Amino acid sequence: MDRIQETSVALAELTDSIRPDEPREVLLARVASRVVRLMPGADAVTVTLVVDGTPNTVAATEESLVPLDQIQYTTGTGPCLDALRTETLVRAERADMAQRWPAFADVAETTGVLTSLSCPLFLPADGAASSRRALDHRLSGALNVWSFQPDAFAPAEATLIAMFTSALSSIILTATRWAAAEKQTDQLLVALETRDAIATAKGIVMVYHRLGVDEAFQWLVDASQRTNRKIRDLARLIIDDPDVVNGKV
Amino acid sequence: MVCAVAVDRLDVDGAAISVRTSGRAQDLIAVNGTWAQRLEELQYTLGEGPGVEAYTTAGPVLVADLSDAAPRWPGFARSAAEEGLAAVFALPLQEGAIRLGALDLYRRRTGGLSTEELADAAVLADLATTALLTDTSPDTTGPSRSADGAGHYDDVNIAIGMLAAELHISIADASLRLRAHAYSTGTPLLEIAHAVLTRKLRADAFQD
Repeated sequence: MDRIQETSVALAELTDSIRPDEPREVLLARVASRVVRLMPGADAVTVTLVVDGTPNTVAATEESLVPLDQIQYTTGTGPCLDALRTETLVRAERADMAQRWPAFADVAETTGVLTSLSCPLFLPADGAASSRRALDHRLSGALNVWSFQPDAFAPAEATLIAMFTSALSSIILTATRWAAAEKQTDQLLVALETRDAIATAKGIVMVYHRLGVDEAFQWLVDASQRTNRKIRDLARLIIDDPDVVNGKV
Repeated sequence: MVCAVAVDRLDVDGAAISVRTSGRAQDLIAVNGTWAQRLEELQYTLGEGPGVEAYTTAGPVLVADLSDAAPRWPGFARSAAEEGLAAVFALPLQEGAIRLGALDLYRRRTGGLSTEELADAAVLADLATTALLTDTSPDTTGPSRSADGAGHYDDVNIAIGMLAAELHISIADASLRLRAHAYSTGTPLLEIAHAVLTRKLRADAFQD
């Protein structure tokens, strides 16, 4: 299998695995470990997400490399933050690191990391499934790939991984939109059916207690308070067994 | 809004948007004119018709001449023809596997939609779907979704409950008898329901 094909298989696998209700971190952890297997020279992956302006590491295949992210958050400089800021791929080798981000380079030295590759990510905010406005609120982040090899991540590989993360970003966005649409539909349909049930229950109460439409509704409201049941649950009970109306609530 | 544009741009005489569930539940979200409203109610009464079919098959239903549709919807074709309907087009409101209901376009003369009109209709159906899916305040979509949650067909459901209680029959049975009465007497379902509600029409009228 060639590299492009492998990448698209990985993408398809991840797409299939997305569940709309899973926490973002769980999905990103899966993405991280997939990238490690997918990319030659990749020894570990960490994922940075910016929440309320503050970057955080939300997934890591290798806990011992998390300090590489943390030193960047503390000093405000580093390849991951550059990738975030410039929205472009940032690849760095040992010599670049020492020159551009000395504090980060020291940590890299300690952990044995010789090459880094940071790809920007754009994701919908977690729990943003309720309205369109929330969907426009996106999180930014970066996928950080680490290698213990010098000169890892050839330009072609790097481009492939950039395409991968960019495709992944839109897949996650689509999945979130889809979940939002499904939720809205469910609410709409439940509302429709609930309303019909309440109307039908009203009709039953009208006959059993010789009441008018509004009085019947008031009867349902009172019974709901008395029995500590939601009106819609009460309505279903009445429909299933109209005798409930005669005091057996 | 979508319905008004449809009538204006597509050379049809009435348009309506109904939300449906896989059961019999239906609600009129938007309608342009009382004629279209009566035709929607007819589909609600009978449980058949272009909108019902567009919803269940998830595909467009295009009938350039209603008389061809008699085998398909025997009840609807006859009653709708009496109302003056000659051609009807229904587009499902859907996004992917999500199905919501249908946009129904009614015309008093026979003849199909042009390719261009059909494309416009599809765009309008998409617009309506998006509006339904992104609207989180239920009381802004249309007149039938007022703040207290009363629906366009509420009276029908109340009447069904009354009949079920009076005659000691199931809800499904009561629903059928109410609809059968409306259809056999040629009276709109909502009118029959209202007569039951105001006790002008006694339950005895629905005895076998």
